[in-house]
Amino acid sequence: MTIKKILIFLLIVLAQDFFAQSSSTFSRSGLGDMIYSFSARRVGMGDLGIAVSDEDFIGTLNPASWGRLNRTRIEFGANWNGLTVKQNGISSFYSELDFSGFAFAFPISKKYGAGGALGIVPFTNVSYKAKQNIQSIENYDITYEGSGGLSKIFLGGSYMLPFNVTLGASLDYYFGNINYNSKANFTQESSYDAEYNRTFRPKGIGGTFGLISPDINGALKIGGISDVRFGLAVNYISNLETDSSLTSVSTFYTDTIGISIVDMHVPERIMAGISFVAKQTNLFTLDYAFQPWSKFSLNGKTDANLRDAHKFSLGYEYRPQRDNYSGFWQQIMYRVGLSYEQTQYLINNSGINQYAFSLGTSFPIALENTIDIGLQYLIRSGDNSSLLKENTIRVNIGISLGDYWFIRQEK
Amino acid sequence: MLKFKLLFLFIASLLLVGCSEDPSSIGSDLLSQDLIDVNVLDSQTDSLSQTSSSFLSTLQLSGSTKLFLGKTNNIDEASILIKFQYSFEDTIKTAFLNNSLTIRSAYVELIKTYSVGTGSLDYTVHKINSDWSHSTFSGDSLSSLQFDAQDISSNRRVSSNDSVYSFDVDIPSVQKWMREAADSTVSGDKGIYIQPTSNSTKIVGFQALSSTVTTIPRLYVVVEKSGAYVDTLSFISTMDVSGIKATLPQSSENIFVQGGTEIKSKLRFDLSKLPELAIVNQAELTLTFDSTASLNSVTSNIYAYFVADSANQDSLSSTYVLLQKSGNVLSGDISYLVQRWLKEKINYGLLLVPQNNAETVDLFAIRGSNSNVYSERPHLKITYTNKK
Repeated sequence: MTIKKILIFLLIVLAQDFFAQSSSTFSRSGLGDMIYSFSARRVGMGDLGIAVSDEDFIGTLNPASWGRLNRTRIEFGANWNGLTVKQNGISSFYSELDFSGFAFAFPISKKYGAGGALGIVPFTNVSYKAKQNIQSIENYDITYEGSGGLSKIFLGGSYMLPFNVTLGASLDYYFGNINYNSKANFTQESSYDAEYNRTFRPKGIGGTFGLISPDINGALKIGGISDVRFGLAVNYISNLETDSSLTSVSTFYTDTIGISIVDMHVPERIMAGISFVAKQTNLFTLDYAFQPWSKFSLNGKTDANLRDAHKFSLGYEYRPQRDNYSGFWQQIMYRVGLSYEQTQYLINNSGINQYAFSLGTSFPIALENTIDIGLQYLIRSGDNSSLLKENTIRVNIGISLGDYWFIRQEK
Repeated sequence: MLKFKLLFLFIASLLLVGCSEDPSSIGSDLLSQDLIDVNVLDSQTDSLSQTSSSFLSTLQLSGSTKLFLGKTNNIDEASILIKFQYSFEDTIKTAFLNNSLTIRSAYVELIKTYSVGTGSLDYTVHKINSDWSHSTFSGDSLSSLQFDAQDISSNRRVSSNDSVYSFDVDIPSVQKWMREAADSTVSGDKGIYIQPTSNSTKIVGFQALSSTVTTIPRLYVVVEKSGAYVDTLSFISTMDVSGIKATLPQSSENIFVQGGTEIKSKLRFDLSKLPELAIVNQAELTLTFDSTASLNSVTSNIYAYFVADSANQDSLSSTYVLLQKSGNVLSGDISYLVQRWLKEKINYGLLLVPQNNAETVDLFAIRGSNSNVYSERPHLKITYTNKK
């Protein structure tokens, strides 16, 4: 129990942005990098898993997945990103630790596929820093920094319809605080530094709707295969009311030189997947996600650096049969995943693509509790060789706790 | 237990390896929306239009620690008004009233603290007949001052080290003042008026009335009671002030700044070429000093005041910058003033005044905006950051 408390303390208290950056200046476009999953489990399997409906994990991409939960669950986690950025033979390494999300879910009726969930998860992430040293008029540095992103709070539930089709929906509240800062620092003491801050604070509602099919292996009748399911989920986001401000900061004044409320249109995200279990312990997933970022607009203006995003992912999980008599090593789960993403970034007419390989594992703390670790290696680059190239190692650590809550006491 | 410890160490190690490199230039070419750059706007190389002019107003010098006396090229008259305080013991007072006390001599001593110009100082001393107040008297008041035409001074002298100026005062005049002071039924005297003559070619400053300095103007009176004693009575100034009348030097090349007379100058640069959203990193104003047309006793500086009020552009605001003299230039950092012009979107320019305008009559001749030598015109160099 002490270890649990220490880990929970570490993850909650340290769930802040500690370090410099987790992405490159690609994330200046649109709303930054898309975040699909907050949990180490999904990270270890290629991020998606739209058709997976677990008894002991909370999926946040498809509300229909909450119908099979067998216990009330709390999950949260943190990401560490180690990023190497290269351009024109120069490379730099950055790292960042940040909160990756929190979810709480509870079963209502397993018979009716009814479950509820709420949580807070990041949706996009802006995180970059770049610095130029200029030696012309005077010797000075210009530092560009972007931070923040869009997050969502969700509250929803699932219900099983006839023919075992599970539907789910959540009401989502989107909010964010995205800052872009440009600062000139002079080495000469007699010159005053200068800084511009552009801030966007979007807020608004949206909804996520999903379904997961019944096991169709009953019709297919493939030997050794079970739980063959299709899943579909759609994220709809209404136009977000966005407070926009531009502030100049000098030694003498902090002056808001532009302030307005504008509309931000974030395009819907559509995801589909299939999953099946082979020989009871091997889960396979294949997923696809699409988001037409070319339709993203801020104050009616689209972003020329954005295009439609597509993501394909393949995941595998080895999940041993667990019981109270299994030893520690016999209860460990292993995962592996691959993904390819045509990202939303279109920089200098060159599309930026991402390849990712992931590994994951879950260590049991008790029968229903696990510490999950996901390890991901990502390569992101464009066709144009002069564009920067990112190599990222991402470590996601999560804790998944399950217990019986809301049990009616027998009289 | 070991496995949990290992896991704990793993998490802790992630935190520890989170140290990042300083940001590099990688990817900065993708930040077109946020790019900023630093530029220079130079009034000379960028041919900024500018205007400058000088004007004369009257300065009330009651706050000055100096009493100015003399004349220069543009100061027609710097005069002194002093009223002494006569207080003495009852035995002296009775003796005056009984006419048993004889005044042997009387003289005034003034202690020099400042001088500007070369040549001589000559003056006359007159008995004032009209009321005046040091708190309201100024150069403009000189024309309405009523005084006796008779010069009541004689034996005007200067100590060998040029530090003490003194003159004898006509004895009947002193006797009358003292009798009036001793007899409360007779109205008191109104003081003396020390006026430079046309022979004066310089201005000398003397210590004025001060509660903390002992070298204030004094009247010494040597009295004798026949067969009893000879004594020297000392009376200090109880009210004094200078009045200065000046004319504005005429020049197409220069603008002028002078204390005592309150000759001020306005200087304005057209900064419409400076982007509205610019942040001023440095703004240096450099003025070229014309030593041949200036009159300076010591190295002194001038202030550049922010002009805040469109209706009253000659008044001094609370915002100013010191322009320090070094060689033949006066320069200072006016970054804050330029930033304020940008922020308030109003630029009434600068008002140039001497650093101690009540303590000096130094005349600064500064190359103006119409100087024939372009490089000697007021020079403003602004380094600024701008959002692209």
